Amino acid sequence: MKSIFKMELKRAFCNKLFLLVVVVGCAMATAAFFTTNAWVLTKAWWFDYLPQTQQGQLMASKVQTMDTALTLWMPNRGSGSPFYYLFITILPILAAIPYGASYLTDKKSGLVNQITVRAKKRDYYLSKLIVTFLNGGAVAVIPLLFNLLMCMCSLPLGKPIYATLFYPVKDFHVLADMYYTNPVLYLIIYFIFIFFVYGLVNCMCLTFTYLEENKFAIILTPFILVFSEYVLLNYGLRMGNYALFWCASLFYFEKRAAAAVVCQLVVLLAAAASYLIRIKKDVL
Amino acid sequence: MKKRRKIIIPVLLVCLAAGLAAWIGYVNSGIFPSTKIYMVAQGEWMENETTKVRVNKATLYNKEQWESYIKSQGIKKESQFVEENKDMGYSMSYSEDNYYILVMDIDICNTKEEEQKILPESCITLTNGIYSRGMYKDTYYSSVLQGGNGKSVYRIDLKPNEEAGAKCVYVFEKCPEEFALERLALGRNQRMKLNVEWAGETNEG
Repeated sequence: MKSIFKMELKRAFCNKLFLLVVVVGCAMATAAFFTTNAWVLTKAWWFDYLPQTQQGQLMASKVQTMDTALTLWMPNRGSGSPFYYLFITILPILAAIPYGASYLTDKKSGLVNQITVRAKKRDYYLSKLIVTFLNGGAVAVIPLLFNLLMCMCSLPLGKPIYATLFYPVKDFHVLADMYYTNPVLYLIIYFIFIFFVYGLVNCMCLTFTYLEENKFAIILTPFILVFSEYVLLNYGLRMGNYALFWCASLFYFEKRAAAAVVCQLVVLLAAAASYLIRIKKDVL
Repeated sequence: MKKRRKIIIPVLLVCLAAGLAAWIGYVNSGIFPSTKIYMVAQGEWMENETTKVRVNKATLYNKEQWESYIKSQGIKKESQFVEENKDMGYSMSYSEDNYYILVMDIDICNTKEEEQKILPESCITLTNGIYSRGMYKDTYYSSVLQGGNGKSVYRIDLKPNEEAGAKCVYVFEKCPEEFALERLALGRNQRMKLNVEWAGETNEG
């Protein structure tokens, strides 16, 4: 198991496509920083407030609170940026590009036969599932983390203050108390949650190899599933804030949507696990 | 070449991570105003550039307690005041079916080197815990409790370093579980957890 897992990890992460996707994600994160108020605020604090220019002195007398890295962060301030929206919209496709269709490629090239002759079938399929999950999660998290680091290099992390109304998390959002009292822990949970969601979404590529044998269709499958659910719920039932696409960012995850999101995650988990049925059924 | 690359890339990555950590440390080292919220005990001063405020007592009334209190003080009910001054365009921000009133006895001190006309309730923000939802300041009761006529907001004239007492009245239809006061000032954000006494537990009401 260990050697197959290691091999699959290497195929997923030491991969030019993975690097390309991460670079594209980070480029969008950078563009989101420079095309929103994040850059304007950074300039104001660094080039006016710190050198105490006339503008800076006026700012110090008028402004009541210090902006923080969380104010600038892409899912918060950057949500006004088309680059953030583009990133979050095409994220299921980006996550699937490096490794989503690898099982299909292995199958078509006959590599599955080669591997399963030398190792246990169970180990191969399980490794494939875990690595697809990790790969999808990593593609989702790295650009967000990159943008957060950019923001942390610009302004101090600090504690958000509800009264300023600079922050999107309201008392009806999940873990809102934690956001205002322990933002570091909240951020850790934010990253774990989005990693988990896009990891599972990426596993849909494996599940759908049962039904589809076209590589491009497989790569598009997670996007079609996630986005069509959002469109259906939002435009059909006016319940867009219950969709996984919406709630994947904890900032917008409302408490009343918790049960619906848990159900969606359970369905995804079951669908991902159904891929393992192949261990017994796959015809070599 | 491959061997050299194997050494150079990790070394570069470690240097990059160390540089990044050092820069983030510098940004967070206090070159910018703090975003920390300083907790202030009830009875201590909350300060900003122009004034400082201290809460002596906070008393909470339910509808019945409040109505009997204002009756004993000879103060008209707000609804009666609004009815009598219909032409002035006054209105009420709450329903009289059920409501709660919080009265804060505060001291205000002018910390500026010039005379100031101060509106007491604008010096602080009353919130429900961490969610600083603006609670309605009742300008009518705030005014009449301090000897005003209720028709205009009550302001205090304070000379430099002069201190005066004031009453701030807040009204809400749903009683919050906790109260806090906030004062946001660049680098000196302060919050005070308010110990509220029910009117029945005090001599008032």
